[in-house]
Amino acid sequence: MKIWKKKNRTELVFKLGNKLIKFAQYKLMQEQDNIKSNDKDYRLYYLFKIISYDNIYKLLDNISEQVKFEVGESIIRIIGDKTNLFTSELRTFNNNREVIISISEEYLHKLNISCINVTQLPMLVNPNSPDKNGNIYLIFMVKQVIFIILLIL
Amino acid sequence: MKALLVYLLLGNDNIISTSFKVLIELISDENMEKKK
Repeated sequence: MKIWKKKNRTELVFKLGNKLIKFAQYKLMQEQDNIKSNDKDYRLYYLFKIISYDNIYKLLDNISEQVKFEVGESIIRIIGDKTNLFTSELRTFNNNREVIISISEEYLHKLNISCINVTQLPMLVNPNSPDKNGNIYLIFMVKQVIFIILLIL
Repeated sequence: MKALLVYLLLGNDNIISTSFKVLIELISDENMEKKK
């Protein structure tokens, strides 16, 4: 079960930047085969014409904490400004001020609703056993079950 | 410069979808119950 928490913005920015840079390194390794292609429609055609693969690899390998912060910060700023999925609030605690980010109530509600299935509801009344022939299943004929269904509706 | 390189390598679609996934993953904590 997921437990939703509130997180410090700075912590989120660093972790997001870190993950995106790792993902970029992985992407670069995937593109290794396409470097020599002369297809101008290839997305990174002009990038590889300007900087060689080895240089890009070295640049990404020696990336500083400041760059990680820049990457994470700009993405969080774009997502925060353009969507309503995350809410941020300023908290003051023992003379320390920090920005806390959490998922907005509206979106959280939708996420939780989508996770609940009918099969996850507990069986409140034992179901009726099938007929002697095994064909008819009389679960909905029991009045307790009908009462529960009415309560749900 | 290096940050721009990261954006170029990932592209628009990858950046936004990955960022959403990572943010939701970071904010939620699936292992809380196990720790208890």
